[in-house]
Amino acid sequence: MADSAVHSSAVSTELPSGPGFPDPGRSGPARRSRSRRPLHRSISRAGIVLVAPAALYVLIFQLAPVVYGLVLSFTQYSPLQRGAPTFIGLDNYATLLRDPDFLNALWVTARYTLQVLPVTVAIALVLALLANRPFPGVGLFRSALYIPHIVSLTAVSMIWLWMYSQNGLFNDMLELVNLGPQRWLNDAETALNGVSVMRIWKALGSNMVLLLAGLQTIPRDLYEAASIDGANRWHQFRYVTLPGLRPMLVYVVAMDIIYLSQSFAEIFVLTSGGPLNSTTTVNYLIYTEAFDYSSMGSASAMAFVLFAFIAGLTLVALRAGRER
Amino acid sequence: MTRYLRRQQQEGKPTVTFIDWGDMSTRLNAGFSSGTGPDVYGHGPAAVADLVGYDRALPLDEYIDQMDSAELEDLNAALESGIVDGTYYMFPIASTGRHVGFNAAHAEAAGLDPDTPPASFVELREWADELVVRSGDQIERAGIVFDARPESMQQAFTTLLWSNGGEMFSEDGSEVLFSGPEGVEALEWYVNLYQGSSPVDSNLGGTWDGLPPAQSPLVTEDTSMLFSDPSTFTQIMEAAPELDLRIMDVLPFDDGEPAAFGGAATGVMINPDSSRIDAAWEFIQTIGDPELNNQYAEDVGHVPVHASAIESEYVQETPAVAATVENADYFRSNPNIPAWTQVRDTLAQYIEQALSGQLTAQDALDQAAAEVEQTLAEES
Repeated sequence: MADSAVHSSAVSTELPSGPGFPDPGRSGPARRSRSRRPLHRSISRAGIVLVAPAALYVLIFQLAPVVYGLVLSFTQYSPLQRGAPTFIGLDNYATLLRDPDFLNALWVTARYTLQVLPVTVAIALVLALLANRPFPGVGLFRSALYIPHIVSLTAVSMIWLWMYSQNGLFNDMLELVNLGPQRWLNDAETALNGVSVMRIWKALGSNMVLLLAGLQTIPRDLYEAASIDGANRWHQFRYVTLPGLRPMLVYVVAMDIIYLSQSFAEIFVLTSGGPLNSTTTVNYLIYTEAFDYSSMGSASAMAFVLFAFIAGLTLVALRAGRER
Repeated sequence: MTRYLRRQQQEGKPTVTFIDWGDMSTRLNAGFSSGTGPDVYGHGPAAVADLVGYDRALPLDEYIDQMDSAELEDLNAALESGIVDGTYYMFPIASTGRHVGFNAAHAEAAGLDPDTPPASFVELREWADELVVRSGDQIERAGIVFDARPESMQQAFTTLLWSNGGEMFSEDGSEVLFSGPEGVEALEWYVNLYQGSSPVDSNLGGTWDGLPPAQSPLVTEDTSMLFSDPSTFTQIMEAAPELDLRIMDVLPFDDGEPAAFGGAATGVMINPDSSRIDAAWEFIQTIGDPELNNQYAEDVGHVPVHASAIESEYVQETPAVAATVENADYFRSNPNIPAWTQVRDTLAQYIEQALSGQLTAQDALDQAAAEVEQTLAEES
């Protein structure tokens, strides 16, 4: 990957040659330098022009709102109010630290992330190992597993809402074995687990594809060499596959932490944060604070605490995945 | 309807934008804060006090005073849903109310007379005890179910409180009254549906929001009675025409006056920043016209706001809507106080703890009252 980047960079800075371009073979070093400068400049200008739209987009629609959100987090502000936000310093942050609902939401977010993450990565790894073997229908197998990823999370949540309902699929299955209906999403003890199962299923496809890509970068001859040295299947997995897959595993874990910690759609559709706030994630609380209560300052402060939380978890994951 | 509104409008031609309920606050907030808000906008009564507090709704007294008394009387109690501190701000365009609907076949099978339904919540509980179907310690069919969304729990409690003679707040909105003896008795009635020696529903926390009407517990026969709104009952009747669903009148708690949550479901307000305020009022008068309002209600499946709508074909043929129009005098709106949505959610949070047996009714209401009083103090 790194070699390829260097190569493409070298290619892009090569001067064009041919009719109309100075012949480097006939020019002395000083002359070559003079003739190249304007060309370099025009290439640089062209680069800037080409990059500008994307850079402006990032600046205006991504960085500026983040900076504005940070500013708002130090203010009291309702979008309904006339006039500027009122600066209140660190009050929003201080209030959050004493707010039991926010602390509960942080705990729910951490629990949700940490219970979905290992299960989805482990199952995705097993599926990727299966999908990495040649067998009839492997393409269909891979596609079928990937489909949940491309379906809208909201649409998927609506279907799972029915499956978890009193007369839904899961209770119908329980009835077949003479078990009474369960209150999957209506019981504070089981609601978060119910949402987690749905999210594990949803996240499997993308994780599997990434891990499959990682598996296919491991050279075959490493397995052959290990086999010649007497390594069994487990040893090959432990000493060849896992180390070879480490960069992709770290990437998958980091991305999952980022996505899971920001969970909102499935919570909004399946439980609305209930029962008894047992599924209220920080992102759901931010939505309530911002759009139900119009407290943009407080909601922005929550968003930045969530950002710090995600950054902390991701750093822990990256450190844990660092090669020793 | 939009074409009709454009034809009727003398001054300017209105552009009507439909916004899904879930996007309402975000779109309106964006419009107000950027100075591109609409001249007239619709919203629920729960939002009125905050909009007034931020000077985003124009007082309508001057215009409403010009309406004749017959017109005002025809608007039922819905007009009162838009009053904040004695001033009209919202003109109602759809009504709602909470009723109990019941499966008449279940009642007959249980030896109850469906033509003589309960006349109070106390009698309703007796019906629920007769209608519940148990298998050992499991409830196979609930006697009655209530939706468990936060706003639904608050509306159910408020209905019980008002029907029991209690009040949510003092008249000036500064003092919490819901934790008084009437409130505790009302909440205990509600809690005993799920807790105690003979609960009548085991599916506490159930909500059917987002599921098709055919999944309603009345249709799936997971309950014999349901506390809900006329639009939901109408959808259930359409989804299950074979179901003999009857709608009860608004009930008193015991032998007092009937009362229930209701009034305006949605209304329209004028943006004070509008440069065409007279045209905005003309527009409101057009959509407030009884005939057009009735058509609007029929198109969207709502309850018309005018008492005279009872004569219309739509209302006559829609029993749940007819029940709400007939009982209009007994419906009351939530209090129009600042930060109402926050107050509502706080109250719902403690009601839920009481329903799940984590707090007694008294403790739940006392704790809710303390937190709500703090919110009110911050707002004032």
